[in-house]
Amino acid sequence: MNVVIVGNGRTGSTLAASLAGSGHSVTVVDLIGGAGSPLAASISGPGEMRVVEGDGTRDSILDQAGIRDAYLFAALTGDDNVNGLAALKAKVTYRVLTVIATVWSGDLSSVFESLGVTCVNPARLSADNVIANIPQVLQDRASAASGE
Amino acid sequence: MYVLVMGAGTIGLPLISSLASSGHEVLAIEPDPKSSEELRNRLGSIVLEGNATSSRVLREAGASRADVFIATTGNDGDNLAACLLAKNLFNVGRTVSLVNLQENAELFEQVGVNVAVSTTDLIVANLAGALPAHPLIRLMPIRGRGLELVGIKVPEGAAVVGRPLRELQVPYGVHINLIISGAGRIEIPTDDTVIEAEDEVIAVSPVESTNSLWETLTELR
Repeated sequence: MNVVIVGNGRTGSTLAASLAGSGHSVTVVDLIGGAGSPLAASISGPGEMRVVEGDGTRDSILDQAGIRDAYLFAALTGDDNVNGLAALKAKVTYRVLTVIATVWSGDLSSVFESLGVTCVNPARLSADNVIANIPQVLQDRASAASGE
Repeated sequence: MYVLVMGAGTIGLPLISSLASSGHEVLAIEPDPKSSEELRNRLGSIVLEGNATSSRVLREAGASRADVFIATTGNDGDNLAACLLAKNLFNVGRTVSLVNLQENAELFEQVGVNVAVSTTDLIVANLAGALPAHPLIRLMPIRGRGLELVGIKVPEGAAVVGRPLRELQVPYGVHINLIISGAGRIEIPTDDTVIEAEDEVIAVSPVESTNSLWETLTELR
C-alpha cells in the first residue's frame, strides 16, 4: 500500500516527510526529481520515501508512482488546474479511496469537491490559523467595538 | 447561438473566425495581451482579455447566457477546469474541450465535459486514411460505450466480394451502417446488399471486435 503525493514543494515535501515518519510508504511525484527537499531529508522514520520524476497528470508516471496500490493521493502543486486534473484522474480513473488537492479558487474547489475530491485552500487555512491565535480578549474587544 | 471560446491560439483563432463568419455570436477569452490585441485587430471587439479558469472572468464574459463553451488551449488542466466551471457554475448547456493528451479524453467525458476532442485521434485517423493500402480508419470513438465508428475499404480479390451481407461472419455487436462504392455511390445496406471490391464499409463496432471485422472484410480469397 502506498501514498502518492504530486508536487515536491513546501507542502508536498513536508507532508511526505510526516507520513513517512509515521510509517507510511510514500512516493512523491515532481517535474524536478532529486532526493526531496532538505526539510524532508531531515526527518527519518520507519516508512519509505521515494521520488518519481515526471508530470503527475500522466498515466505512465502515476503508474510508476504506484497509484494502483495507493489509498491516499494528494495533489499539492502550486497550480489549481494541474491539481484538479491529477486529483480527478486519481479519483475517477484509478479509484483511489481518499483524494486531496490544494485549490486556491473557491469556485473550483466546489466543482472538484462535487466530483469526490477533498479540497484544501491554503490561504483559508493560514487565515483561520492566524485568527485562532488572536487572544480571546482582543477578539471580544473587536466584536464589542463593532457592536457599538 | 452564443459561443465562448477559451484560447485564441492555433486551434482557437480559426475556430473563432469560422464561428463568427457563420453568424454566431462569439466571444474569445484569451489571457495573453499580445494575442488578444492581434485578434482584436483582425476580428474586432470579440475578445475578452483574461483567464477562463477564473469565475470572475467567466461572469464578465456572460457565461450564464452562453449556449456553448469551447476550450482550445494546449493545457489539458486549464481546459478541464474551465469547462467544469462553465458547466457547474454557469450552467452552460454544452461544453466542448480540446484534449491534448489522448489518455485524458475519457476522463474529461466521465466528469461531465460533453465532448472531448482528441487532436491525436483526429490526426491519426487522417494520416491512416491517406495511406494507399486498404486501411482501417478509426473515424470516431464512441466513449463510455466501448464502441467506435470505423471505415474499412474492401480490397480487390477479397473473399467477401460478390457476397451478400447476410452471408458475412461479422463479429457480434458490429453494425454496418453505410457502404460507399468505389464510384462514390452511398447506400444504406440491407441483408441482400452485395459487397463489391473498393467498397468503403462504414460500421459501428465494439472496440475489441474491430480488428476481427477488418480481417473479415479484407481477407483475400
